[in-house]
Amino acid sequence: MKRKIIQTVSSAVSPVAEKLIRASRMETDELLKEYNTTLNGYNEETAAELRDKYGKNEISREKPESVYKRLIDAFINPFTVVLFVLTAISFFTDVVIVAPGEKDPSTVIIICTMVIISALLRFIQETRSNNSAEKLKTMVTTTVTVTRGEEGRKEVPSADIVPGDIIFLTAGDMVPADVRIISCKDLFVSQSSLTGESEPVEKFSYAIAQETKNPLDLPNLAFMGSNVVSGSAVCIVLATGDFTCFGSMAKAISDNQVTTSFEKGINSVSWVLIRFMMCMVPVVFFINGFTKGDWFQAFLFALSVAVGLTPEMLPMIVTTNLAKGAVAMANKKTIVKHLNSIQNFGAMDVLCTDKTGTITQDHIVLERYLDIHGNEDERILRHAFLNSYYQTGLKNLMDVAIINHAKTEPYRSLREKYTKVDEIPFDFNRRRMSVVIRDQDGKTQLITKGAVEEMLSICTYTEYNGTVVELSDDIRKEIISTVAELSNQGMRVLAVAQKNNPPVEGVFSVKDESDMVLIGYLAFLDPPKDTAAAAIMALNDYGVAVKVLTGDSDAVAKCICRQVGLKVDNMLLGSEIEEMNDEKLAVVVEKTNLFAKLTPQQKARIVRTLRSNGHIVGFMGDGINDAAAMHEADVAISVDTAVDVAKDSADIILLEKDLTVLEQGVIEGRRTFGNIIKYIKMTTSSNFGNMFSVVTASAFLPFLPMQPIQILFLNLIYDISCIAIPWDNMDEDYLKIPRKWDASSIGSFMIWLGPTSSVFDITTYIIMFFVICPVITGGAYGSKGINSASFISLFNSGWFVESLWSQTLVIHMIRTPRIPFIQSRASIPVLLSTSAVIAVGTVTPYTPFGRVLGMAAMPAIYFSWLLAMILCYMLLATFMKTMYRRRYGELL
Amino acid sequence: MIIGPNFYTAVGLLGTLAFMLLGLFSTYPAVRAYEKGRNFAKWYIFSFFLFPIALVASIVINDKKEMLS
Repeated sequence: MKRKIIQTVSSAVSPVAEKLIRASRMETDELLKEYNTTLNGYNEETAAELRDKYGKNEISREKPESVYKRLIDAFINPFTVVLFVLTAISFFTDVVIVAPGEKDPSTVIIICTMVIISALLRFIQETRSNNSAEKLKTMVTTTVTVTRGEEGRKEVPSADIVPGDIIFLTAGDMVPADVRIISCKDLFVSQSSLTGESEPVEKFSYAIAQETKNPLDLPNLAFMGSNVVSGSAVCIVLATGDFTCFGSMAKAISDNQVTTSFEKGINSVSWVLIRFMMCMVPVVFFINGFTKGDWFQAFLFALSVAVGLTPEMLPMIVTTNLAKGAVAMANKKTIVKHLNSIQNFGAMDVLCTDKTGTITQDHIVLERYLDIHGNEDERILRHAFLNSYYQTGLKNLMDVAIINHAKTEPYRSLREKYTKVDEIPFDFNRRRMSVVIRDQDGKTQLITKGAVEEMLSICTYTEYNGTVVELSDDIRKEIISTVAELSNQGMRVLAVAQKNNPPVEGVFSVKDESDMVLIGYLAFLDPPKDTAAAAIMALNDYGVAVKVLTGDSDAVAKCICRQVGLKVDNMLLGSEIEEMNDEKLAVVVEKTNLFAKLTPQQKARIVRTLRSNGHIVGFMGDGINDAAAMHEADVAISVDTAVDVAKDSADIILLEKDLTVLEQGVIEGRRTFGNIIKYIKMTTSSNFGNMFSVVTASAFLPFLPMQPIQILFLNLIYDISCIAIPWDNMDEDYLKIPRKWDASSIGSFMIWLGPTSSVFDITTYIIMFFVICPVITGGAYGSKGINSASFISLFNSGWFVESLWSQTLVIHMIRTPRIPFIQSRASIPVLLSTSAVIAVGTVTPYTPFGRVLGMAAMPAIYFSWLLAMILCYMLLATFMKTMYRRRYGELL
Repeated sequence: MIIGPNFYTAVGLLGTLAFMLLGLFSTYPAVRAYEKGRNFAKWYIFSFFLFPIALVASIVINDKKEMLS
């Protein structure tokens, strides 16, 4: 698989490869000369000129699709293709081959009207949803640190960088363009989106003479679409936008989007319905041809049945529902990046969440700076300040908290007293970072801060009662006990250590972090968001189990869980998970709702395990350590303050800190799914029922039960009544349970509920054929002196009206397990559209237009039969619904 | 009901209607039996061919689930 991806990449990037390979061989000076720049970068004017020349740093594929493209796409789906084919056949048989005076384009007009209604509505809804999402997306921009001449370093939107810009990358950044690294420190980059290689690749800054045809192999280049896992770098931009490797292969590589079970389900239902139609049509054609002898009429009837069995409104209903959900979320300041994630939101039954920045306020405050014995000590803050001030790696909120706390003297002037020699950046395996500084007397000092366990592993000494002593087991126990006490108060604790005069030969590396002197701790508070407790409670009410997955210590995580009302039934640590095999983990993840001290890989493993247990899993995160788990989840949620890579992985981005929007998203997702499944079940069951009705009529009636043009008109007005379905509401009970795609329920629903309407179709045949028509026309069909044309026309009208009533009432019957109109009412748009369609269809036989369609006015007695039949239909449908629920547990 | 020369149509339509109603109402004994821990498909077939007997039987049979619990 990986080799295949690399081959694809190699061939796709060849146009830009040569330029990148040449840049990789150059020394920094040559490169700067080539791009006519310096290490201070371009000034704003030059950058603007170059932007005009090369364009914005955006990939064409990621730009919104043009109106024309979307309009054309709205018309192309399997159903419209079927209808276009039927239109072409109809045009040939009704217009092209008939005599000039007998040309009848009405079939063509009706089919085209149906296609246009379906496609235009789809287009309008998609446009509305796109517009809302685009408007919100402008509020979430990824930025990059660039140096701009005299202005120095500044953050600019990624879209604004140009070839030749000098940019700075740190852990968590997305690489914004194809760049050559000119200096770096412990730089590891994940290129999985380009190469399929899941392990991060180490990058260096030296010029490379290596012969290669694939620039992705070169360790001094980094590419758009990849992200920095750890370390930091200074780079020169080589190519932007469509001129990058990522841009040039945008068409060659697939988007990493995985087809969800919902998308697969919709596609499979579409094809089942088309196959069903294709099997039915020849059957109807041959039965009518053989029994009635008029093969041309049989052909036209079969053609109309084909149109009737084609659910041309399905793509419109699906898109409109999803788009409507996305617009509703946009109004709550939530960006839905992928429309289908709305459905996943509703299906989600487990929400895994990181702690920091998602359920906490992301406003970390430094509460204490303590020595080993737990006493306040200014020296600890001074060392922490120097470490945080001089580090250039991952933008950590705790560093910000330390710098904010030490804004005043004497800390501020420390900046003048020291110069930075080097740093060893943070990474999630070491969970610590170091800086090396030199004072005015030339004395160097290595200062390290990080997670307590990891710090203890590199410290051999400690400052105990003012003197440096060896770190004995007793002192270690005392330290762990002090830290546990702070953690139990909900504080996040970091340890600070230092080493004087480390050897300064060569470059500092992780190996230098050894034999250090532990000097004290820093304790931070990160209170939970105000809405976190309410959101967690609401999610539990809606059947979504919340699990906290954090890299933090167990004590802090427990404390936060307590504060947000999350009862910790069971807790697991990363180290315990590491020792478990997949089978054991699959069992314990079900019983555990707090996972602490996790690495990014462990978070991803937990999500993967929950998914393989059959759960639909959401993951809410904001950090670089959450990206892998977000990729594994069915629905990835992030916040606008998240690091670039987390925002890039997210399906849904919350722009406001209010977490109650999660509950809204879940409800919206379930409502969307409910309305889609409602239409699918309604259509499949009604098609299944129509199959019985049409085959019965074809076999036993001496004439066609409805004229082809009447079937088409019936189908058209029925389609119009379906337009309002996306605006329907769902019962509160339905919204309380996670809803996921279940193909088997569609089949069983179709078999159980479909024949219900057929019973009344056949009853109508019997009443019209043996009671009403003979009474009005004066005798049985085929008897002497009976006008067959009037008999047929009356019969057709009778079935037209009954069929319309039963088909339209299906919407009200199927939408709820309760008694329709009494216990559960459809939304006003659905009530209005179905009432209007019933009114129009009932009146049609009495109008001149009805006569054009070959209908006849029915006697008043027909309506008493009709009302009785409809009442019986509703009773039978309610009976079948009840049986179905007792058998399968739920209706939709 | 005026049948006239349409005997075949009358038999066909009424027969189909009866067949379909039987098919739908046979779900009742089958669901009742299913709720008492019996196989739905077997009971549906039983009910379809011997509806009155199946209906009575589905009412009087013991609840397997209750017995097991």
